[in-house]
Amino acid sequence: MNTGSHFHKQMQEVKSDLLRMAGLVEEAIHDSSSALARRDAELAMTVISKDRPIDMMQNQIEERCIALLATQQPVAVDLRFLSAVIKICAYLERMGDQAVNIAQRSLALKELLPTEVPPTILDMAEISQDMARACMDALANGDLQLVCKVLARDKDLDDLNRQVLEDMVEWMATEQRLIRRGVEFILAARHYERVGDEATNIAEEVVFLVEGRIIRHQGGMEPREPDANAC
Amino acid sequence: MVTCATPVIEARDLNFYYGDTKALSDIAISIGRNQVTALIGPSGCGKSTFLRLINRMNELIPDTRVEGSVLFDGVDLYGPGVDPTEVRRRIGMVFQKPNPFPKSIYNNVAYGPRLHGMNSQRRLDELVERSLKAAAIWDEVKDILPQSALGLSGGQQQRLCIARAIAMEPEVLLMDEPTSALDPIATARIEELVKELKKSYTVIIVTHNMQQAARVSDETAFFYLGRLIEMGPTERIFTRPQQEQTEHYITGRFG
Repeated sequence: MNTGSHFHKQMQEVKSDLLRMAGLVEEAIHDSSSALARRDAELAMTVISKDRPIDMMQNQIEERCIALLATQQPVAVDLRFLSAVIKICAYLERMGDQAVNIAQRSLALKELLPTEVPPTILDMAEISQDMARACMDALANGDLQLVCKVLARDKDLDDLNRQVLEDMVEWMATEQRLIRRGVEFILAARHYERVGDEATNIAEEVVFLVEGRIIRHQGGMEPREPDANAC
Repeated sequence: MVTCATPVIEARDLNFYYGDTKALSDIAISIGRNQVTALIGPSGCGKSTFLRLINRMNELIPDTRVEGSVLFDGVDLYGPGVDPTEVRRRIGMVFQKPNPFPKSIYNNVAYGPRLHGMNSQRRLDELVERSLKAAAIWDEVKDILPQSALGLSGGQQQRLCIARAIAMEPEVLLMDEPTSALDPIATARIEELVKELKKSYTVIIVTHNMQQAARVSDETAFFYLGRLIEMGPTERIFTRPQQEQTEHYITGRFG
């Protein structure tokens, strides 16, 4: 349905742009987590200021995909790729927004009495960064094993989020002046949980991209054939 | 073997030769009733040869040979005692370039039925009107039926040829790149017509335009180097083809 090499070169450029955007988002999550752990206001401000280029990349990539859809009428793997990219760049943009939210929690906590970040939240930061990295590697290489890894870790993140909520409620009940800090930590946990959700969304799109199967809302990734990779 | 619930055409172990050259190898295919089936593939892949085998047009070419069978409603079209003229009446064909007879619009449609013995003017009038309506050209020609068909536009001529094929009351309509000589508007009208025609006929269409195959057909069959590589629901072929060769062809990665 298209003229071949020039079109495929353009598709490669879309992929490169998407991976470059993914790199910026990964960096934003990493830096916002460092800012939170180290009470580093300067780094938090940097994360916030770098969000706009990520937003702009989403628009550029989406516009480019729509132009290719309109002019090339791609089919099969090319069609799946472009429709997946449009969704993935939206997920990445939202992941970037969560990094901004985490940076804002870091700034808010900096205004309050110094308190160690609870280890459960640090665990969530690590897991969500692992998930973000893994889903982007899965995307770059079409790696379904990594997709399985991302999907499995999302539940860990959800469990930790609940744990943070319970711990913080208990902690805040001991003393009223802890409430502001407790709320900030609950929000931070929620932001990490959302990063995990977006990574899961991206991983699910990778399955669609590679195999043409929609696994969203279907209770996980079932093996396609008896010998296919199972999670 | 690609199968379907209510096949009207079935090919089994079908091979075809032009002299010593094997043009089709081991074709096994089943084509569903009241469906539009698109045959796609690069030039020389055998799709038009296969189309012409369905109404025994290839035997008009000297030094050709058929092996295997093509069943039409369970009867082998190449079996003993089968009359090719009767086959071509029940399996009509529309060609790449519109080829109206140098006669009036009316007589283009009435020609075949008259040849087959229909003499009643009233019945002929009814049949001509019904066929032209089915081919979505009646409103454009109803007031100029005695005029020459050669004065019509290319798109109108092609719809007239479809009306001419329909007038023989076939069960299957074969279309060999029916829009390749038409502009986009005429093409769109023929495509709409194909979707209407499948309510009454089984349509098999050869096309080089894959967007057209994607738009009009229910099933798509991909031929390559004389073999049927893959056949399946059009939506699946154009989103998740199972064979790598199909994917390479439809995404333009061939060659």
